[in-house]
Parts: sequence; C-alpha cells; structure tokens
Amino acid sequence: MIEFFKALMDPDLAFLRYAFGVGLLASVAFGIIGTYVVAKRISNIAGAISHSVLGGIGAGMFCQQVLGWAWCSPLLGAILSALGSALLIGWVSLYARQREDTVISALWSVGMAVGLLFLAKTPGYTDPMSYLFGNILLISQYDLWLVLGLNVLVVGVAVFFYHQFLAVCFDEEFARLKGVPTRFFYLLLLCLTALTVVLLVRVVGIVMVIALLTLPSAVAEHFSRRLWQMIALSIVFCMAFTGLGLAYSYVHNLPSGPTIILLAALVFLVVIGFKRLIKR
Amino acid sequence: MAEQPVIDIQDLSFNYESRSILENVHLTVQEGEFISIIGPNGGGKTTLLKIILGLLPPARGTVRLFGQAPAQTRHWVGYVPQYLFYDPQFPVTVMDVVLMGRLGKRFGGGYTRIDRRAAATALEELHIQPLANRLFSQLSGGQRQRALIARALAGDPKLLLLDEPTANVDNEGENKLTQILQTLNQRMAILLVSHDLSFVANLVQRVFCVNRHVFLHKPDELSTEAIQDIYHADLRMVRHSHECFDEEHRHD
Repeated sequence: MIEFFKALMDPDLAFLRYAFGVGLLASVAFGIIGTYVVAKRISNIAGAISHSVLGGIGAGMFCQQVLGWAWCSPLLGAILSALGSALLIGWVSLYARQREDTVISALWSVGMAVGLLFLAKTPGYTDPMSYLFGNILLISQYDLWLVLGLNVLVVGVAVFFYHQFLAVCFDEEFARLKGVPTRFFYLLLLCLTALTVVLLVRVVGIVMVIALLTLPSAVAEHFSRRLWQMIALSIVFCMAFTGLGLAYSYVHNLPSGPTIILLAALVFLVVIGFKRLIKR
Repeated sequence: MAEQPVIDIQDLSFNYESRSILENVHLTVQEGEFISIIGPNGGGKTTLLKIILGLLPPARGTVRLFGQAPAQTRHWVGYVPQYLFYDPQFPVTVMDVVLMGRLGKRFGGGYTRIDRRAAATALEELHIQPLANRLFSQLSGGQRQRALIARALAGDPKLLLLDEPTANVDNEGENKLTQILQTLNQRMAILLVSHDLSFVANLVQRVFCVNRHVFLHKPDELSTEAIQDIYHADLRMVRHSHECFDEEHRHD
C-alpha cells in the first residue's frame, strides 16, 4: 500500500495520479446514476449504451485521421454515439415496448461491429483492447476536467429533481398522473447514464463499465432506507472499489479494470451471502 | 362547475389490435357519488380505468374528467393502484411514498412544509402515522394499501379511484377499508373497481357492470340473472344484504 502512495507522489507517474483522480471523481457521478439505474432496473439499457460507444470511438478516429476532420475526436464520437443510442432505446421503450429487448441487443452488438470496422479501416494500429477493457495509460489531465464538469451536471440535476426521479423510479404511472413529465425524466436519466458511461470507459473499459455502474449501488441498496442514503453509500463504495482496485493492480502489476471489477463483485457476493445467512 | 359530472363518458369504444375490448360505453359519475365498476377478469375494467385517466386513448367516443380532457385534470384524481410492481429492496419509507401524492406540476425542488403537513394529515386519517418512517416494503398487504390510499389523499383529490382494493387484504382489513371509504365519500366522489360483489353491494350507490358493454345497476338489483348476463356463466350468488327490494332489474 505504501508502495502505491509513493507511486502517487512520483512526478514521473503522472498518469497514475490522473487515473486515481478520475476514478475517485467519477465515483460521484457513478454512485448517483448507478443508484437510479439499479432502482429503475435498466442496467441492460446502460450495457447497450456502453457497448455502442465503441462505434462512436471508431467513427471519431476514422473521421479525424482518414477524412481529416480535425475537430472530430474519439471522445466526441463516443459522446454522440452514447447519447444517440440512449435516445433511440428510450424512444423504443416508451413507444414500442414489445421490441425493447431486441433493440437493446441489436444496438449492443451493432455498436461493437461498427467500431471494429472503423478501427480496421483507420491507418495505424489502434488496439481495441484498451477501449474494451480500459487502459489507465490513456488518461490525461483533460479527462480530470471532463469528469469534474460531468459531476457538476449530474449532482445538480440529481439534487434538483431528486423527488421527481424517486417517483419515476418507484411508480412511474402514478408520477405521470400527478403531472410529472415522466418521459422527459426517463430520457434525461438515459442521457446522463450515457455521459457517465463514456467518461469511465478509459478506466475500466466498455465491457466492464456496466459492472462499476451497478455493483456499488447493488451493495449500497442492502444498507439503505432512503434513496439518498443509497446514493451516498454508492459513491463511497464506488470510490473504495476504484481506489483500492487501482492500488492493488499497480502493486501487483495487474490490469486495473478487471481488478476493480472483481473487487466490486467480491464485495457484492459477500454482502448477499451474509444477508442470506442472517435471514436463516 | 357546480353541476358538472366528475366523469362523463359518451359512446366510447376501445379496441386492442382489432379485438374489441369496450363497446358503446356510456357512464357518468356525479359529484359525491360512490360508484363501483365490476365485471369478470378480462372484461375491460382496467382498460376503462386507464381511459378515464387518459393513459389510453379511446378509439371512438368522448371522455371528460371534470369537464375537460383527462390529461388536463387527472391530477385531481387520487389513484390507488391494485399492484405496485416495485423492487422489494427499493429504499423508500412510507412517508416518502405518501409525499409523492404532493408532486404537482412543479419544476424540481423539494417539498414544502405545506406538503409535509398534507402528507401527515393523510397518514393520520388512515391511522398509519406510526408507520411513517417504516420501509414501504416491510408493510403488510393491508398497511401497504392504506399507505397508497394516503398517498392518493395527500394530493387533495376530488375523485378517489381504487383498482381492486380488496385483492390483497384480509377480512379485518376489508372492514376497516369500508369505514375509511365511507368517511372519505363525505367529501369526494369514489369510483371503485372490483370483482368482489359482496364487498361492493353494501357500500355503493350504483354499480356499472363491465364486460365489453357497460350496464348500470343499483346494488340491490344485482340478482343472479343480472350477474349471469354479465359473466355469461352459471354462478351461484349468496346474498349478504338483509334488506329486501322489489324494484326490477333492468339493463340500460
């Protein structure tokens, strides 16, 4: 552990500080959005959104390098594709419910397929692995600012519309009868989920980001009596998982994404197992 | 405003994928009335309810709720759903749930002191104020239902709409519910959807029987023949009422 703290102080290892900072800061957005995703039971939608991000990353790179659009970037592509698929799934689930799961799985794999094709046609070798499973070497100071900006947005929206989101997650029909624009809040939630997912893709990767979004909240749910308590605890758990996971992976020279996810999964299993034992 | 019907449905029809669910429905509910909709499962009760609340658009005919389109005025309705498909882990207290009845057409922000007082009054009225800080998921079926009625009351409704209120409630809960509804009827109209004839018969002033078509009855007219007409089946009825009526049963 001391080794990790020394490394954090090491001026040559700036990427580690950035990764650590991004992980801790992003935990705030993850705890909030993760709680709503778990409470509303839309983790499969969040999964499809995160996988569609690869399509955007590939398209962004292709446009930047092959078409020479300087303003285009993988990050912009990722944000646009995530928001696009969030709105598409949202629209389908609001107006053509019976097709929802088909669209979710289609978007899930089509996003990956599009991304891999674009990456293949972009000159120079880009390793898709670093997007799929995360690569903390790719994190820069710029990411830190982005995550900070996202946190302000997510915290602001979540605090201001707390009661509306609570009602929409708990009983959407009743909220709608009371005049709450439930469709707007549903789409807003999906868009915030999309933005949140994009920002942590570099730390844990497209494939595993969904676990980091849902596992801290799933653990927190067992210790909460109110939704805001679940949010606060989710943030704490998410910080603990990313921080400890990152430290452990650094010290033992392991890939950071899988370490973080396995730590989260382990705690989740222990909590569930413990609850079962207590009930008996 | 005074003599305007609470619900006014004229010549309404509804189809689901070319299957006719409701046909030529006429239904009016006046202020202060206590009315029930009964009928077999799949007869269109829930559909009718959703049309009244503006959640489903009718294929034909007009629906007026307090004289306007349901979407405009449905926040005056206190809706008590039959089931709530919620996550048993969902971290929410009874007070949180009841406060949801105060969500109006506001733009974000928290609840005011007035909202909290209204919620507390609703809890008191249903005698569940000691449960205010309990987890909603820890309540019994009857308590949960009273919490949902309190949620509906917290919004000061002019019409209380209950879907199958006796579905998950034992006998004692049913008696309590009867008393509560009778008290509430002194200040608001109540529309109750049920398949439970015995519960309805002693409580309401008029009964609408729904099985694709809608027939109007007085509760005491719910004779065996009338029920058979509606359910298209042989049933045996046990009369709970000890009063006798000699009006004939009619379909209009």
